[in-house]
Amino acid sequence: MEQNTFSQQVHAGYHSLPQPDELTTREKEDAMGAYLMMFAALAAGLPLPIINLIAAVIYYFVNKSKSRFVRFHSLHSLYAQIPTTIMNAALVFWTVRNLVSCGESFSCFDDFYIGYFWTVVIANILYFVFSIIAAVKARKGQFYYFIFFGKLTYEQVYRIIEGEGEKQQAVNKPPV
Amino acid sequence: MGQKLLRDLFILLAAFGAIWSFFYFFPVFPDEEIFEISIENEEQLGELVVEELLGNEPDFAELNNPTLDSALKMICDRLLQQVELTDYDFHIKIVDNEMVNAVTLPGGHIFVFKGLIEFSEHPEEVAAVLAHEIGHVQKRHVVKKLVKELGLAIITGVITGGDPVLITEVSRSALSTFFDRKQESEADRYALKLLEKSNISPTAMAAFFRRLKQQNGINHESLEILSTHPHTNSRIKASLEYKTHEGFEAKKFEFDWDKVRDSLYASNEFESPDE
Repeated sequence: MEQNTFSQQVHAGYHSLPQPDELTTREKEDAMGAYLMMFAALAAGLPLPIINLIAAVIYYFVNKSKSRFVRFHSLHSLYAQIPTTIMNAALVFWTVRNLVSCGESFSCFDDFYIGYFWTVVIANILYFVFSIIAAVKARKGQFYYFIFFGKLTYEQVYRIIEGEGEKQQAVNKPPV
Repeated sequence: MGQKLLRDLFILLAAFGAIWSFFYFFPVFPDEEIFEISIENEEQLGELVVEELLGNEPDFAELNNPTLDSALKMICDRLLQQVELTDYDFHIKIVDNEMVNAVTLPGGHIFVFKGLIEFSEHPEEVAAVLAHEIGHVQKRHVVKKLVKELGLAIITGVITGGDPVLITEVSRSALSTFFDRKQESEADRYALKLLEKSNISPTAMAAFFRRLKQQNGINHESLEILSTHPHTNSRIKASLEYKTHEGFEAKKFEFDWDKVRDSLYASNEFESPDE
Protein backbone atom coordinates (compact mmCIF):
# COMPACT_ATOMS: atom_id res chain seq x y z
CA MET A 1 0.00 0.00 0.00
CA GLU A 2 1.24 3.47 -0.84
CA GLN A 3 0.49 6.50 1.26
CA ASN A 4 -0.03 9.94 -0.14
CA THR A 5 2.68 12.35 0.98
CA PHE A 6 0.70 15.55 0.42
CA SER A 7 3.55 16.96 -1.56
CA GLN A 8 1.25 19.18 -3.59
CA GLN A 9 2.30 17.33 -6.68
CA VAL A 10 -0.05 17.68 -9.57
CA HIS A 11 0.37 15.31 -12.48
CA ALA A 12 0.02 16.88 -15.87
CA GLY A 13 -3.33 15.89 -17.31
CA TYR A 14 -4.88 15.21 -13.90
CA HIS A 15 -7.08 17.29 -11.65
CA SER A 16 -5.30 18.63 -8.58
CA LEU A 17 -5.89 16.76 -5.35
CA PRO A 18 -7.84 18.54 -2.64
CA GLN A 19 -5.99 19.06 0.66
CA PRO A 20 -7.60 18.12 4.01
CA ASP A 21 -8.46 21.69 4.97
CA GLU A 22 -10.23 22.26 1.66
CA LEU A 23 -12.75 19.47 2.30
CA THR A 24 -16.00 19.77 4.23
CA THR A 25 -16.79 17.46 7.15
CA ARG A 26 -19.67 15.99 5.14
CA GLU A 27 -17.31 15.02 2.29
CA LYS A 28 -14.91 13.37 4.73
CA GLU A 29 -17.72 11.40 6.39
CA ASP A 30 -19.16 10.26 3.07
CA ALA A 31 -15.70 9.11 1.97
CA MET A 32 -15.22 7.20 5.23
CA GLY A 33 -18.68 5.67 4.88
CA ALA A 34 -17.65 4.06 1.59
CA TYR A 35 -15.34 1.71 3.53
CA LEU A 36 -17.33 1.26 6.73
CA MET A 37 -20.60 0.57 4.97
CA MET A 38 -18.99 -2.45 3.29
CA PHE A 39 -18.44 -4.26 6.57
CA ALA A 40 -22.15 -4.10 7.42
CA ALA A 41 -23.03 -5.21 3.89
CA LEU A 42 -20.41 -7.97 4.04
CA ALA A 43 -21.87 -9.34 7.29
CA ALA A 44 -25.40 -9.10 5.91
CA GLY A 45 -24.31 -10.67 2.64
CA LEU A 46 -22.95 -13.87 4.15
CA PRO A 47 -23.31 -16.62 2.96
CA LEU A 48 -23.90 -14.89 -0.39
CA PRO A 49 -20.88 -12.58 -0.52
CA ILE A 50 -22.13 -10.92 -3.71
CA ILE A 51 -24.52 -8.67 -1.75
CA ASN A 52 -21.76 -6.38 -0.46
CA LEU A 53 -20.67 -5.79 -4.05
CA ILE A 54 -24.19 -4.69 -4.97
CA ALA A 55 -24.19 -2.37 -1.93
CA ALA A 56 -20.86 -0.90 -3.04
CA VAL A 57 -22.17 -0.21 -6.54
CA ILE A 58 -25.25 1.53 -5.12
CA TYR A 59 -23.11 3.58 -2.72
CA TYR A 60 -20.85 4.64 -5.58
CA PHE A 61 -23.68 5.78 -7.84
CA VAL A 62 -25.42 7.65 -5.01
CA ASN A 63 -22.23 9.50 -3.99
CA LYS A 64 -20.24 9.90 -7.19
CA SER A 65 -21.69 13.32 -8.02
CA LYS A 66 -20.94 14.80 -4.57
CA SER A 67 -17.23 15.56 -5.08
CA ARG A 68 -14.15 13.99 -6.61
CA PHE A 69 -12.83 13.14 -3.15
CA VAL A 70 -15.99 11.19 -2.21
CA ARG A 71 -16.15 9.65 -5.68
CA PHE A 72 -12.53 8.52 -5.39
CA HIS A 73 -13.06 6.72 -2.07
CA SER A 74 -16.38 5.19 -3.14
CA LEU A 75 -14.86 3.76 -6.32
CA HIS A 76 -11.67 2.76 -4.48
CA SER A 77 -13.70 0.79 -1.95
CA LEU A 78 -15.80 -0.77 -4.72
CA TYR A 79 -12.77 -1.91 -6.75
CA ALA A 80 -10.90 -3.18 -3.71
CA GLN A 81 -13.64 -5.56 -2.71
CA ILE A 82 -14.13 -7.15 -6.14
CA PRO A 83 -11.30 -9.70 -5.70
CA THR A 84 -12.25 -10.65 -2.14
CA THR A 85 -15.90 -10.96 -3.18
CA ILE A 86 -14.99 -13.27 -6.07
CA MET A 87 -12.69 -15.30 -3.81
CA ASN A 88 -15.35 -15.57 -1.10
CA ALA A 89 -18.02 -16.58 -3.60
CA ALA A 90 -15.70 -19.23 -5.08
CA LEU A 91 -14.98 -20.58 -1.60
CA VAL A 92 -18.70 -20.84 -0.78
CA PHE A 93 -19.34 -22.57 -4.12
CA TRP A 94 -16.41 -24.97 -3.65
CA THR A 95 -17.45 -25.80 -0.07
CA VAL A 96 -21.05 -26.53 -1.04
CA ARG A 97 -19.91 -28.60 -4.02
CA ASN A 98 -17.61 -30.65 -1.78
CA LEU A 99 -20.35 -31.20 0.78
CA VAL A 100 -22.80 -32.30 -1.90
CA SER A 101 -20.40 -34.57 -3.78
CA CYS A 102 -18.73 -36.20 -0.78
CA GLY A 103 -21.63 -36.33 1.68
CA GLU A 104 -20.47 -37.10 5.17
CA SER A 105 -16.95 -37.78 4.02
CA PHE A 106 -14.52 -34.90 4.33
CA SER A 107 -12.03 -36.38 1.90
CA CYS A 108 -12.97 -33.77 -0.76
CA PHE A 109 -11.51 -31.10 1.47
CA ASP A 110 -7.99 -31.82 0.32
CA ASP A 111 -4.85 -29.70 0.71
CA PHE A 112 -5.71 -27.87 -2.50
CA TYR A 113 -8.96 -26.69 -0.94
CA ILE A 114 -7.40 -25.99 2.46
CA GLY A 115 -4.66 -23.92 0.77
CA TYR A 116 -7.34 -21.87 -0.97
CA PHE A 117 -9.31 -21.52 2.26
CA TRP A 118 -6.36 -19.94 4.07
CA THR A 119 -5.59 -17.72 1.08
CA VAL A 120 -9.15 -16.37 1.25
CA VAL A 121 -8.86 -15.87 5.02
CA ILE A 122 -5.65 -13.86 4.57
CA ALA A 123 -7.15 -11.85 1.70
CA ASN A 124 -10.15 -10.94 3.87
CA ILE A 125 -7.96 -9.96 6.83
CA LEU A 126 -5.81 -7.75 4.56
CA TYR A 127 -8.92 -6.22 3.01
CA PHE A 128 -10.37 -5.55 6.48
CA VAL A 129 -7.18 -4.00 7.91
CA PHE A 130 -6.43 -1.78 4.91
CA SER A 131 -10.07 -0.71 4.63
CA ILE A 132 -10.01 0.46 8.26
CA ILE A 133 -6.81 2.42 7.56
CA ALA A 134 -8.39 3.91 4.42
CA ALA A 135 -11.55 4.84 6.35
CA VAL A 136 -9.51 6.64 9.03
CA LYS A 137 -7.47 8.48 6.39
CA ALA A 138 -10.65 9.44 4.52
CA ARG A 139 -12.17 10.82 7.73
CA LYS A 140 -9.07 13.01 8.07
CA GLY A 141 -9.47 14.20 4.49
CA GLN A 142 -6.48 12.24 3.24
CA PHE A 143 -5.91 9.86 0.36
CA TYR A 144 -4.84 6.25 0.71
CA TYR A 145 -3.92 4.10 -2.25
CA PHE A 146 -4.31 0.33 -2.25
CA ILE A 147 -1.90 -1.48 -4.51
CA PHE A 148 -3.26 -1.54 -8.09
CA PHE A 149 -6.76 -0.35 -7.13
CA GLY A 150 -5.47 3.01 -5.84
CA LYS A 151 -3.78 3.84 -9.13
CA LEU A 152 -6.72 2.54 -11.14
CA THR A 153 -9.20 4.68 -9.21
CA TYR A 154 -6.96 7.77 -9.35
CA GLU A 155 -6.69 7.28 -13.10
CA GLN A 156 -10.44 7.13 -13.50
CA VAL A 157 -11.45 9.90 -11.12
CA TYR A 158 -8.68 12.48 -11.46
CA ARG A 159 -7.62 12.16 -15.07
CA ILE A 160 -8.73 15.16 -17.12
CA ILE A 161 -10.85 14.01 -20.02
CA GLU A 162 -11.26 16.41 -22.93
CA GLY A 163 -14.79 17.71 -23.25
CA GLU A 164 -15.56 16.63 -19.69
CA GLY A 165 -18.27 18.76 -18.10
CA GLU A 166 -19.34 20.38 -21.32
CA LYS A 167 -22.57 18.45 -21.38
CA GLN A 168 -23.58 19.81 -17.99
CA GLN A 169 -23.23 23.43 -19.17
CA ALA A 170 -26.76 24.35 -20.21
CA VAL A 171 -27.02 27.48 -22.28
CA ASN A 172 -30.00 29.74 -21.57
CA LYS A 173 -31.49 31.32 -24.67
CA PRO A 174 -34.23 33.96 -25.11
CA PRO A 175 -37.56 32.84 -26.60
CA VAL A 176 -37.55 32.55 -30.35
CA MET B 1 0.68 4.76 -15.38
CA GLY B 2 -0.42 1.83 -17.53
CA GLN B 3 2.84 -0.05 -16.90
CA LYS B 4 2.65 0.61 -13.17
CA LEU B 5 -0.89 -0.72 -13.12
CA LEU B 6 0.20 -3.89 -14.88
CA ARG B 7 3.13 -4.27 -12.48
CA ASP B 8 0.79 -3.92 -9.48
CA LEU B 9 -1.66 -6.41 -10.96
CA PHE B 10 1.18 -8.86 -11.52
CA ILE B 11 2.33 -8.40 -7.89
CA LEU B 12 -1.21 -9.10 -6.64
CA LEU B 13 -1.62 -12.22 -8.75
CA ALA B 14 1.84 -13.47 -7.78
CA ALA B 15 1.06 -12.92 -4.08
CA PHE B 16 -2.23 -14.81 -4.49
CA GLY B 17 -0.47 -17.74 -6.17
CA ALA B 18 2.37 -17.73 -3.64
CA ILE B 19 0.05 -17.78 -0.61
CA TRP B 20 -2.09 -20.56 -2.10
CA SER B 21 0.99 -22.62 -2.99
CA PHE B 22 2.48 -22.07 0.46
CA PHE B 23 -0.60 -23.39 2.24
CA TYR B 24 -0.90 -26.24 -0.25
CA PHE B 25 2.62 -27.48 0.38
CA PHE B 26 2.71 -26.55 4.09
CA PRO B 27 -0.84 -27.23 5.30
CA VAL B 28 -1.97 -25.43 8.44
CA PHE B 29 -3.53 -28.67 9.60
CA PRO B 30 -0.46 -30.89 9.41
CA ASP B 31 -0.69 -34.60 9.91
CA GLU B 32 0.82 -34.38 13.38
CA GLU B 33 -2.04 -36.33 14.93
CA ILE B 34 -1.03 -39.28 12.85
CA PHE B 35 2.17 -39.66 14.83
CA GLU B 36 0.12 -40.29 17.94
CA ILE B 37 -0.90 -43.60 16.36
CA SER B 38 2.13 -45.88 16.42
CA ILE B 39 2.77 -48.52 13.77
CA GLU B 40 1.97 -51.20 16.36
CA ASN B 41 -1.41 -49.57 17.07
CA GLU B 42 -2.08 -49.24 13.36
CA GLU B 43 -1.33 -52.93 12.89
CA GLN B 44 -3.69 -53.73 15.75
CA LEU B 45 -6.37 -51.61 14.07
CA GLY B 46 -5.67 -53.34 10.76
CA GLU B 47 -6.19 -56.77 12.30
CA LEU B 48 -9.52 -55.69 13.80
CA VAL B 49 -10.68 -54.24 10.47
CA VAL B 50 -9.61 -57.31 8.48
CA GLU B 51 -11.30 -59.62 11.00
CA GLU B 52 -14.48 -57.54 10.74
CA LEU B 53 -14.49 -57.46 6.94
CA LEU B 54 -13.68 -61.14 6.39
CA GLY B 55 -15.98 -62.27 9.18
CA ASN B 56 -19.02 -60.08 8.77
CA GLU B 57 -19.08 -58.52 5.33
CA PRO B 58 -20.52 -60.90 2.71
CA ASP B 59 -18.62 -59.20 -0.14
CA PHE B 60 -15.26 -59.89 1.45
CA ALA B 61 -14.90 -63.66 1.62
CA GLU B 62 -11.26 -64.69 1.33
CA LEU B 63 -10.51 -66.59 -1.85
CA ASN B 64 -8.30 -69.65 -1.42
CA ASN B 65 -6.75 -70.64 -4.68
CA PRO B 66 -3.25 -72.16 -4.46
CA THR B 67 -2.36 -71.32 -8.09
CA LEU B 68 -3.37 -67.71 -7.67
CA ASP B 69 -1.80 -67.47 -4.21
CA SER B 70 1.51 -68.68 -5.54
CA ALA B 71 1.43 -66.25 -8.49
CA LEU B 72 0.50 -63.35 -6.25
CA LYS B 73 3.28 -64.30 -3.85
CA MET B 74 5.82 -64.10 -6.68
CA ILE B 75 4.55 -60.65 -7.68
CA CYS B 76 4.55 -59.40 -4.09
CA ASP B 77 8.00 -60.82 -3.34
CA ARG B 78 9.45 -59.05 -6.36
CA LEU B 79 7.97 -55.75 -5.23
CA LEU B 80 8.54 -56.07 -1.50
CA GLN B 81 12.23 -56.96 -1.96
CA GLN B 82 12.68 -53.44 -3.30
CA VAL B 83 10.70 -51.67 -0.56
CA GLU B 84 13.28 -49.94 1.57
CA LEU B 85 12.99 -49.16 5.25
CA THR B 86 9.47 -50.35 5.88
CA ASP B 87 7.93 -50.61 9.34
CA TYR B 88 5.13 -52.81 8.06
CA ASP B 89 4.59 -56.50 7.59
CA PHE B 90 2.56 -56.65 4.42
CA HIS B 91 -0.46 -58.96 4.31
CA ILE B 92 -1.96 -59.28 0.85
CA LYS B 93 -5.17 -61.25 0.42
CA ILE B 94 -7.45 -62.01 -2.51
CA VAL B 95 -11.15 -61.54 -1.85
CA ASP B 96 -13.99 -63.10 -3.79
CA ASN B 97 -15.46 -59.93 -5.20
CA GLU B 98 -16.19 -59.13 -8.85
CA MET B 99 -15.20 -55.46 -8.54
CA VAL B 100 -12.09 -54.39 -10.45
CA ASN B 101 -10.43 -52.95 -7.38
CA ALA B 102 -7.84 -53.24 -4.65
CA VAL B 103 -8.01 -51.59 -1.24
CA THR B 104 -5.43 -50.63 1.32
CA LEU B 105 -6.37 -51.15 4.95
CA PRO B 106 -4.52 -50.05 8.08
CA GLY B 107 -1.40 -51.89 9.20
CA GLY B 108 -0.11 -53.04 5.80
CA HIS B 109 -3.16 -55.10 4.83
CA ILE B 110 -4.09 -55.02 1.14
CA PHE B 111 -7.13 -56.70 -0.39
CA VAL B 112 -6.94 -57.55 -4.09
CA PHE B 113 -10.35 -58.22 -5.59
CA LYS B 114 -10.97 -61.23 -7.80
CA GLY B 115 -12.39 -58.89 -10.47
CA LEU B 116 -9.01 -57.19 -10.72
CA ILE B 117 -7.24 -60.50 -11.38
CA GLU B 118 -9.79 -61.40 -14.06
CA PHE B 119 -9.47 -57.99 -15.67
CA SER B 120 -5.66 -57.85 -15.76
CA GLU B 121 -4.17 -59.25 -18.96
CA HIS B 122 -0.64 -59.43 -17.57
CA PRO B 123 0.79 -59.98 -14.09
CA GLU B 124 2.66 -56.66 -14.51
CA GLU B 125 -0.70 -54.86 -14.36
CA VAL B 126 -1.49 -56.48 -11.02
CA ALA B 127 2.00 -55.52 -9.88
CA ALA B 128 1.34 -51.90 -10.88
CA VAL B 129 -1.85 -51.77 -8.82
CA LEU B 130 -0.13 -53.48 -5.88
CA ALA B 131 2.80 -51.04 -6.06
CA HIS B 132 0.30 -48.19 -5.86
CA GLU B 133 -1.36 -49.73 -2.80
CA ILE B 134 2.04 -50.36 -1.18
CA GLY B 135 2.66 -46.62 -1.73
CA HIS B 136 -0.49 -45.82 0.26
CA VAL B 137 0.70 -48.10 3.07
CA GLN B 138 4.21 -46.65 3.17
CA LYS B 139 2.93 -43.06 3.24
CA ARG B 140 0.39 -43.96 5.98
CA HIS B 141 -2.47 -42.60 3.88
CA VAL B 142 -5.11 -44.92 5.36
CA VAL B 143 -4.63 -43.84 8.96
CA LYS B 144 -4.41 -40.19 7.89
CA LYS B 145 -7.68 -40.60 6.04
CA LEU B 146 -9.38 -42.32 8.99
CA VAL B 147 -8.13 -39.77 11.54
CA LYS B 148 -9.27 -36.94 9.29
CA GLU B 149 -12.70 -38.43 8.79
CA LEU B 150 -13.53 -40.00 12.14
CA GLY B 151 -11.19 -38.16 14.51
CA LEU B 152 -8.30 -39.37 16.61
CA ALA B 153 -10.54 -40.18 19.59
CA ILE B 154 -12.60 -42.77 17.68
CA ILE B 155 -9.53 -44.41 16.15
CA THR B 156 -7.73 -44.72 19.50
CA GLY B 157 -11.04 -45.82 21.05
CA VAL B 158 -11.28 -48.69 18.59
CA ILE B 159 -7.68 -49.73 19.21
CA THR B 160 -7.96 -49.65 22.98
CA GLY B 161 -11.60 -50.66 23.47
CA GLY B 162 -12.46 -52.76 20.45
CA ASP B 163 -16.12 -51.67 20.47
CA PRO B 164 -17.80 -53.78 17.73
CA VAL B 165 -20.00 -50.91 16.50
CA LEU B 166 -17.01 -48.62 16.15
CA ILE B 167 -15.00 -51.34 14.42
CA THR B 168 -17.78 -51.74 11.85
CA GLU B 169 -17.86 -47.99 11.37
CA VAL B 170 -14.08 -47.74 10.95
CA SER B 171 -14.04 -50.72 8.56
CA ARG B 172 -16.70 -49.17 6.35
CA SER B 173 -14.93 -45.82 6.39
CA ALA B 174 -11.66 -47.51 5.45
CA LEU B 175 -13.39 -48.99 2.40
CA SER B 176 -15.69 -46.18 1.35
CA THR B 177 -13.69 -42.99 1.55
CA PHE B 178 -11.35 -41.76 -1.12
CA PHE B 179 -7.78 -40.65 -0.90
CA ASP B 180 -7.30 -37.07 -1.98
CA ARG B 181 -5.56 -36.06 -5.20
CA LYS B 182 -2.27 -35.34 -3.47
CA GLN B 183 -2.21 -38.79 -1.83
CA GLU B 184 -3.11 -40.52 -5.11
CA SER B 185 -0.32 -38.70 -6.92
CA GLU B 186 2.10 -39.53 -4.11
CA ALA B 187 1.17 -43.22 -4.27
CA ASP B 188 1.51 -43.16 -8.08
CA ARG B 189 4.99 -41.66 -7.94
CA TYR B 190 5.99 -44.23 -5.34
CA ALA B 191 4.53 -47.03 -7.48
CA LEU B 192 6.37 -45.98 -10.65
CA LYS B 193 9.69 -45.90 -8.79
CA LEU B 194 8.99 -49.24 -7.13
CA LEU B 195 8.07 -50.85 -10.45
CA GLU B 196 11.30 -49.59 -12.00
CA LYS B 197 13.40 -50.92 -9.10
CA SER B 198 11.58 -54.26 -9.37
CA ASN B 199 12.39 -54.51 -13.09
CA ILE B 200 8.75 -54.19 -14.06
CA SER B 201 7.87 -51.76 -16.82
CA PRO B 202 6.10 -48.68 -15.36
CA THR B 203 4.03 -48.52 -18.55
CA ALA B 204 2.04 -51.47 -17.16
CA MET B 205 0.17 -48.92 -15.09
CA ALA B 206 -0.77 -46.94 -18.22
CA ALA B 207 -1.88 -50.11 -20.01
CA PHE B 208 -4.07 -51.08 -17.09
CA PHE B 209 -5.75 -47.70 -16.75
CA ARG B 210 -6.19 -47.22 -20.48
CA ARG B 211 -8.04 -50.51 -20.80
CA LEU B 212 -10.02 -49.74 -17.68
CA LYS B 213 -11.05 -46.42 -19.19
CA GLN B 214 -12.07 -48.06 -22.45
CA GLN B 215 -14.18 -50.60 -20.58
CA ASN B 216 -15.75 -47.93 -18.42
CA GLY B 217 -18.75 -47.47 -20.71
CA ILE B 218 -19.32 -51.20 -21.05
CA ASN B 219 -19.30 -52.38 -17.47
CA HIS B 220 -19.36 -49.30 -15.33
CA GLU B 221 -20.63 -50.68 -12.04
CA SER B 222 -17.84 -53.18 -11.49
CA LEU B 223 -15.05 -50.70 -12.21
CA GLU B 224 -14.90 -49.35 -8.71
CA ILE B 225 -11.24 -48.45 -9.04
CA LEU B 226 -12.04 -45.73 -11.59
CA SER B 227 -14.51 -43.93 -9.37
CA THR B 228 -12.08 -43.89 -6.48
CA HIS B 229 -9.14 -42.84 -8.63
CA PRO B 230 -9.97 -39.71 -10.57
CA HIS B 231 -7.90 -38.04 -13.29
CA THR B 232 -7.19 -41.23 -15.20
CA ASN B 233 -5.81 -39.37 -18.22
CA SER B 234 -3.12 -37.60 -16.21
CA ARG B 235 -2.17 -40.87 -14.54
CA ILE B 236 -1.80 -42.61 -17.90
CA LYS B 237 0.32 -39.70 -19.11
CA ALA B 238 2.52 -39.74 -15.99
CA SER B 239 3.08 -43.47 -16.37
CA LEU B 240 4.00 -43.20 -20.05
CA GLU B 241 6.29 -40.23 -19.47
CA TYR B 242 8.13 -41.81 -16.53
CA LYS B 243 11.79 -42.05 -17.43
CA THR B 244 13.51 -45.20 -16.33
CA HIS B 245 17.24 -45.21 -15.66
CA GLU B 246 19.69 -46.08 -18.40
CA GLY B 247 20.07 -49.80 -18.93
CA PHE B 248 16.64 -50.56 -17.43
CA GLU B 249 15.42 -53.93 -18.56
CA ALA B 250 11.96 -55.23 -17.74
CA LYS B 251 11.88 -58.84 -16.59
CA LYS B 252 8.69 -60.71 -17.28
CA PHE B 253 7.19 -63.01 -14.67
CA GLU B 254 7.90 -66.63 -15.40
CA PHE B 255 4.51 -68.12 -14.65
CA ASP B 256 1.70 -68.46 -17.17
CA TRP B 257 -0.82 -65.72 -16.32
CA ASP B 258 -3.56 -67.26 -18.45
CA LYS B 259 -3.34 -70.44 -16.40
CA VAL B 260 -3.55 -68.41 -13.22
CA ARG B 261 -6.68 -66.69 -14.44
CA ASP B 262 -8.14 -69.97 -15.68
CA SER B 263 -7.72 -71.37 -12.19
CA LEU B 264 -10.31 -68.83 -11.02
CA TYR B 265 -12.91 -70.24 -13.38
CA ALA B 266 -11.87 -73.80 -12.53
CA SER B 267 -12.50 -73.16 -8.86
CA ASN B 268 -15.89 -71.65 -9.75
CA GLU B 269 -16.82 -74.75 -11.73
CA PHE B 270 -15.74 -76.92 -8.84
CA GLU B 271 -17.97 -74.97 -6.49
CA SER B 272 -20.99 -74.81 -8.74
CA PRO B 273 -22.42 -78.36 -8.12
CA ASP B 274 -22.84 -77.51 -4.46
CA GLU B 275 -24.95 -74.46 -5.20
